Amino acid sequence: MKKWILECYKKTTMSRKINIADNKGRNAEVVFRSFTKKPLIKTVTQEGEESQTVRVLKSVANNSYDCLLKEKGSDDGIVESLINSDPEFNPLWTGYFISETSKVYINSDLKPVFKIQKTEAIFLPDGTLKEERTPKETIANILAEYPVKSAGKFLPKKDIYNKFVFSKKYQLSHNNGLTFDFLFEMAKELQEKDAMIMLAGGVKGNEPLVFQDGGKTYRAFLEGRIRGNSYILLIHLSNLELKGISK
Amino acid sequence: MAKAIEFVADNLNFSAAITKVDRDKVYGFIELNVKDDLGKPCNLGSMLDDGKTLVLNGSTALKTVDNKYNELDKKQLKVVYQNGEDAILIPSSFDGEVKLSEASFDDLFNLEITSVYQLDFEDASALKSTSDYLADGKLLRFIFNYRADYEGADAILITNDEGVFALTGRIIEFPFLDNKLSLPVDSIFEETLEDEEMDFGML
Repeated sequence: MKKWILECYKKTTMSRKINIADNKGRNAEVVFRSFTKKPLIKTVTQEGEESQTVRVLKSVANNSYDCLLKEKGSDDGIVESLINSDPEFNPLWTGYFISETSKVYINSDLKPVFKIQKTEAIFLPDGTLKEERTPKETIANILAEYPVKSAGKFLPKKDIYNKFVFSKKYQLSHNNGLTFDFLFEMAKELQEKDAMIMLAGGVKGNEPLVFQDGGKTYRAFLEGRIRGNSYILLIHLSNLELKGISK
Repeated sequence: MAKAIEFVADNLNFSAAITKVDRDKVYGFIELNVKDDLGKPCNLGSMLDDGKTLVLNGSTALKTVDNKYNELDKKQLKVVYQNGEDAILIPSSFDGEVKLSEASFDDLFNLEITSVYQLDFEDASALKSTSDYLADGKLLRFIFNYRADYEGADAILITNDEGVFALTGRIIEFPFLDNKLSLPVDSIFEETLEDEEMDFGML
């Protein structure tokens, strides 16, 4: 049972590349991968047949409350219509199984729009509006001309283990003998120092990492372990410090 | 105080409520406002694959069906593991004692954290004794379930100057990687030159 449960947790992996430099100024494009978890359980009928979950359409925009309010003019009008007929029900679409849809912006007239203006409102933790601005565009910087590298000193694990929330992990992997040596040496140095280093990107080597265009920015920390002639080299991502919240 | 969890370790018993910590509460949050070219506010919706039918948010539902797309009553279904064995329901951490065991730094760094909770103690002495127990890098591990379900989350108790926290998520067993691509060769160049006549014809 335990072995089978471990099998279920065996990872399916997705691999991408990162351009990373060591402390000697050498850089290489290496593979990094995340580990997605396979589902441990499933639901079945009493006969053992697997069930599946599907998405079903309840109504389309023309049957929505907003549309009915425009047509009928008031809630009383909608109530009257609901008593006399089924305005919320579309015989063609209600109950339709949905697989793929396209995201689109809809205005208050329930029409799709193709020219939009975006602004961001920044709020403080207490809900106070701090500022409004044009949204910042984030551009991926992990496979750029300037490699991702150390942003400063070694950070002893015993000093930072309880400072940050490491929400995402990527394992670096070699793709040939040279990159094996490259990554192994990095892991060895980090284990010997029992430390991590903060990674940064950009021209000046001080920018948080962005893994895809339009993606979130993260502070990244490199951690290494070795066992004999094998290694583990992990990038830990964090966008949250371990801080208490006042009530 | 909100409902508390009863934690039990070898030399430490305490109870504490939990409050979720997220970026919104620590740093604030951002709201995106979208307007069309006439300044009218817009919301995100969906367009069906016919290219013209619009669906607003909240207009869909999830249904459980069989392989012929007949709807199934969820009460008639059972939960099993992937090998077909009946799954065991793991109780909520709020029901009964939660056993703590020692965790290592590797456990902590293998933990892919999905949620952070701050522990709220009824009195300051309980907070102090728990913080003192977890000082100097000591970590405690447990299985966390906010509600009863079939998959508990891995969790680690940790402390710093700001309080005592439970980090929950899943511990990943990362594999050690070795170099299987090349075999060690001591003197490849000498052997090649002495043993073989080099053919420059290369025909």
